[in-house]
Amino acid sequence: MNFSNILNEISKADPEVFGKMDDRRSVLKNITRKVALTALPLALGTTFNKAYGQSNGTVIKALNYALGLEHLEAAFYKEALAAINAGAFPTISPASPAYAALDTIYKHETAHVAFLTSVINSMSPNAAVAAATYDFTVGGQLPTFTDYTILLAVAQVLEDTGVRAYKGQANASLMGSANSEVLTAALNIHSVEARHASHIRQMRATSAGGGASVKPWITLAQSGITAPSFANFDGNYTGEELTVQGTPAVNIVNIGASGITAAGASEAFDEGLTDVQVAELVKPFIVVA
Amino acid sequence: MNKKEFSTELPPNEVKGFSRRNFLGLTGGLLAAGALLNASCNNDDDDRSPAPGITLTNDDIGILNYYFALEQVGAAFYTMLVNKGFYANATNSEKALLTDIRDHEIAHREFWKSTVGTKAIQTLTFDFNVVDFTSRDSVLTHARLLKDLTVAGYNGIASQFRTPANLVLAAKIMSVEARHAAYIRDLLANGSFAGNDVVDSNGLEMSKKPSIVVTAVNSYLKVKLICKLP
Repeated sequence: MNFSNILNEISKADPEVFGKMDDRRSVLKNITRKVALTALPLALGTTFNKAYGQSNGTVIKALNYALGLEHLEAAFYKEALAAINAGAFPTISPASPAYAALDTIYKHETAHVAFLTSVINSMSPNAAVAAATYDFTVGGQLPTFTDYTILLAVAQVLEDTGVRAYKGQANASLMGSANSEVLTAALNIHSVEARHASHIRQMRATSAGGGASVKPWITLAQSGITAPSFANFDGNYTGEELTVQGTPAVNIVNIGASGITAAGASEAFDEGLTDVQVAELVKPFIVVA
Repeated sequence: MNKKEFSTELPPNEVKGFSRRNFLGLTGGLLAAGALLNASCNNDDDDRSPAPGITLTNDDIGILNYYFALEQVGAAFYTMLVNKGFYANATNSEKALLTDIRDHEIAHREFWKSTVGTKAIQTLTFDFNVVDFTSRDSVLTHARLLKDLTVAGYNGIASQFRTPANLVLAAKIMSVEARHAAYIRDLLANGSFAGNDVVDSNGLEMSKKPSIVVTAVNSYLKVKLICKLP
C-alpha cells in the first residue's frame, strides 16, 4: 500500500481535521498515528522490530516474521467477521457462503498463529512475537469494515502479499537437513495462503463482491483494485509482471512455441518479496505494537 | 483403478509438528488397501520391479524431473480438455480460466524442461481413459485430484533441494498450483478451496512424499515413473 500522501489528502478533504478534536490525548494519538503511517523506513511495526530484536537465529527470525504476518491476518478476519455479525453489510449475512469462507480463512490464520508461536517458543522460550494493534481502516480513511468491496480488496492484498512474503523466505537460510521440517511447514502455510488468495479473488469477481476484473491468479502487476485516491495497492504487486525466469534467464513468453502471452507468463509464476518490502507494505495497518 | 478408490484411499503424508514420521505407516495402509499399484517407488522394491519405467533420481535433478513430470501431466490434461471443447455446459468464465490453467501448465512444463536440460526425462505418454471429458463432474473431480496432488507433491520434497535457486523457482510455481487447486475445488463445491481433506488442523497443507504422489500419478501414465526420491 502507498499512503505516503495521506496527510496531504486528509488535510485537503478536511482542513480542520485536527482542529475538530478537542481531546488533547486524542489529538496526540491521532497525530502520532498519522506520522507513524507516513514516516517511511524509520518506523517499522514493532512486531517486526521484535522479530529482529529477539531473534537468536536465522530460523527464529524468519518464523517470527511469518508470525507477525499471521497475527495481522488473523486480526483482520476477526474484525471482518465481527463487522458482518454486526450487520455492517446489508447484502452479507452470517449465514452466507461469504461469511463461511472468511471464517474458514480466519480459522486457518489463527491456527497458523498458534502453530508458529508453539514452534518458535519450543526453539527458544518466549521468543515468539505477540500481536500488535492494527487499524485496517488506516485512521478511518479506508472503509474496510463498512464497504464490503473494500473489505475483500484488503483481504486480497493481505493474502497475495502473504504469499509473496513466505515465498521471499524460501531461500538458502532455511535450507539444509536441520531445517527441512521448518521449511516444509513454511511451504505448507505458503500454499494455504495461496488457496485463500484464489478464493478471495473469486469472491471479488462476483457481483456481490463488486464484480472486480480479477482472476484467481495474478495477471502482470495488476491489483484489480480501484482504491481511494490517497491509497493504492500497486506496491503489493510490483514485480509480479515478470515474464523471464531462472538463471540463465528463460523467457516464458511463447516458450516452446506455445503461444503463451506476457499475461499468461506472469500469471504462471508468483514472485517473492523481501522482509523489508513486506514490512513497508503492511506498515499502514500497524498502529501500536 | 477407478475414480472412487483413487480419490479416497490416498491418505496424506502430512507434516504435523516436528516429529511425525508416518511414511512407513502410510505405505503399509496403501498396500493393504490395494491402492499401491506400482510399488516401484520404494528403493527396496527395485529388484522386484524390473518393468521399464522413467527414473526420478534422488538429487536435485530428480526433484526437478519430478516437477517436470507433474507439469507434463497437468499440461496434457488441460490441453485435452480444451481440445475436446470442454465438458458439457461449461460457462464462458470456466472456459477462459481453464484455458489459463492450460497455458500455465504448458509454461511450467516447458520451463522445467529447459531448466533440467539434457538430463530431462522423456516426454510422458498418458492414459486419460478414466476421465469422461464430456462430464463436468468427471473432469473436475480428476482435475481436483491432480491439482491437490501437485500442490502436495511440490511441497513435500522442496525442502530437499541442495541448490537454493531451485527452491526459489519451485516456490514461484507451487503457489500458482495452489491457486489453481482452490479454483477447481470451488468449481466442484464452492467454499471448499482449502478443505479439511487438504489442510490440517494447524492450517498446513498436507504435503505428500514423492512416493505417494508418483503412485497416484502413475495411474494416468502408460510408461510409469520410478521414484528414487525419499
